[in-house]
Amino acid sequence: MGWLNPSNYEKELLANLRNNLAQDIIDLAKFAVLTPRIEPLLLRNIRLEMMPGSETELEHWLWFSAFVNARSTRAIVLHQGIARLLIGCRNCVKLALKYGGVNPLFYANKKRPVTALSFVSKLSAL
Amino acid sequence: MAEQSAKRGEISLSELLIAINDLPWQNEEQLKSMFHALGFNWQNESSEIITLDQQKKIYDRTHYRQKHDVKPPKNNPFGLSIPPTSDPVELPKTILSSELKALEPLLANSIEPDFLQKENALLKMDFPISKLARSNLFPNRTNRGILSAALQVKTRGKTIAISQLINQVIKGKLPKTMPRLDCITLQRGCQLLLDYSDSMVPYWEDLTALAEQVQDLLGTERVKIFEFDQNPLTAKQWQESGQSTDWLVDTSRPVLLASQLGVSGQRNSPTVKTYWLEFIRLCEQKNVPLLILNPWQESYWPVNLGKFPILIHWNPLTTATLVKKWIGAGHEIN
Repeated sequence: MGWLNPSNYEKELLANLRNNLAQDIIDLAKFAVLTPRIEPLLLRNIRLEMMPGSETELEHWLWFSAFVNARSTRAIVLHQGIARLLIGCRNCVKLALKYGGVNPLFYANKKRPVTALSFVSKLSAL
Repeated sequence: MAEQSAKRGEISLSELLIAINDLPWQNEEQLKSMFHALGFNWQNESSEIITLDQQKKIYDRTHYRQKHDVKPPKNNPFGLSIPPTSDPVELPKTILSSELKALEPLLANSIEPDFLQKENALLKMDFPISKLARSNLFPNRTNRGILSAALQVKTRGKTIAISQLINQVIKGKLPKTMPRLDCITLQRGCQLLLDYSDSMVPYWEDLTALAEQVQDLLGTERVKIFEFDQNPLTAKQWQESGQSTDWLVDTSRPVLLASQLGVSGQRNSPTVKTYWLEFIRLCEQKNVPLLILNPWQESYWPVNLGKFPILIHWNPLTTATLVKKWIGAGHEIN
């Protein structure tokens, strides 16, 4: 998880993205910034767990968006300074509920592999 | 009995004085060695006394802050001027001699060291790599139904069409071949074309999963997998030996293609490039059913594809019933 202080460039970038991108892409990015390196597998699991019913192309939008700092055929790395601006643990839980995603509190007591979901579960307990 | 001032085993100054008095030492060297033998320090020189000026010098912090202010030259912008060059360090003139010896070749009959012969538990340990489950675009519980509905082909079955036979006999026409009812089969297999272009990177694992799903359904030998980058006419089948075979139209089996058709995110009547149109026309001329799986929703689909290709939304919400509705009872292939 990146808790770097956002640079001025990243602040401006996020302001631009908020104006130009659809809200569901920004919401997916809010879940995705929980991990610095995102593989297609993780991105798929985050989307389906947190935003079930969302369209498949949402992964493409995020993958090729300006949120991404580095991109390869295996994974993407988002701008880490944006993580601090985007994420708020309470918002994250609320967002999951907004999109009809599973209740993270329900999974907090279960042993599951380390995914964004378990991050959120831990954050939600704070 | 006199009291012992020192503990037993300790050497004090009195022992040193006794030794100096008793032993017949001649010069300063001998006296020095006696001092050392009894554990005393021989200090003939006067200790250095730190004067008040020296103390001030030590604690003077400004002493270390003497820096020369480097001002950038006015003509060149800062950072672009040539840095000052330091004097080159002279290399030693003499060349040191070195002796490099070639290692002796290993003997053929040499014995392995013990640590190789012993059973190394670490090498034999299996570390299970637990891979997270991935939800494919066609889920495991529905992919067989969807794919079989999409790829089924009509053929003549074994059951005799009795009603047709009776009709022909009544009319006095004996058929040359026995009329048979149509049946639906997956025996024809398919050609599977996968788009491994950059714009499909988030779905590359889905392409691999799709290939496995189709092979599980139809059998490995009935599926010919081709890969391409953007242009489907350049699709190639790669073999394990590294050789590739170009894609050619196979009129005996349908073509299943997974791609986003080079249209990513254009909502307002996107159009495909000309090589896509050529590919579609080629399949249409040869009467080869063409099914295109597109991960994007319908509003992003190109508008200039025509009616021939059957586009299927590559999404978990797609069902076999929907696909049957689009395709019908099965493809008709000569």
